[in-house]
Amino acid sequence: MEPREAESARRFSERYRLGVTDAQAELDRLVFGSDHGSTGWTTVAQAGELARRLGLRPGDRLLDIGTGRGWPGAYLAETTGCDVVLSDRPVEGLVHATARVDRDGVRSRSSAVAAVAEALPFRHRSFDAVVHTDVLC
Amino acid sequence: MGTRSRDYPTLLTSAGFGEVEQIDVTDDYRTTLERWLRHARRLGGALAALEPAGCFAERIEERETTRAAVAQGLLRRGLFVARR
Repeated sequence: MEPREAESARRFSERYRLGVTDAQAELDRLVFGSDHGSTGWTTVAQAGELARRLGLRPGDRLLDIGTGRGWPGAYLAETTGCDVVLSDRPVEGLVHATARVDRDGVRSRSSAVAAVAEALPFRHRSFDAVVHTDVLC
Repeated sequence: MGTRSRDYPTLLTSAGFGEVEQIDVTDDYRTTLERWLRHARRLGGALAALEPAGCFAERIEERETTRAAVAQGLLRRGLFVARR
């Protein structure tokens, strides 16, 4: 891993390890419309637009690359009824994502995988749709 | 997604996606940034206490810079939807 990449990974792991406090949850709700603990800029409205354009529905298999604490994949599973695999490098974020899907009652339709986007451990055509937000920036 | 939005459709088509829609959400991005800055400053004490000293102030400064870049047309944001 390049030094800059390693530093970025370390900072994200540190942020995720802190969890989502009441103040952060309030900030997220006011700014993005959800309290999933997003570290990006995708709003609830934009997540909904992605779901609409992708035609997500129950039974669809969605992969969320770079999900962080589960945004927007966990939200899309809850609102569309699709199945979701939440993937990212920092395990700390996936711990929160797993707690979130438990809280939202979508645990049976979700799973979390620690993986880097360049080497995803899935077979070809494992998913009906893929989302990634604020990853390539 | 970034400053080189022209590259991303090319990336998608090279990966085998045939239809690529691009939705410009720069205005949304600008208002979201402004909303974040407004509410983050209001909640500042509670948020800053959670991080190492100086990190929160640094983030405010970074986002002010980003907001200015968006306002000047130097930075855009888009949603890309691609299908096979």
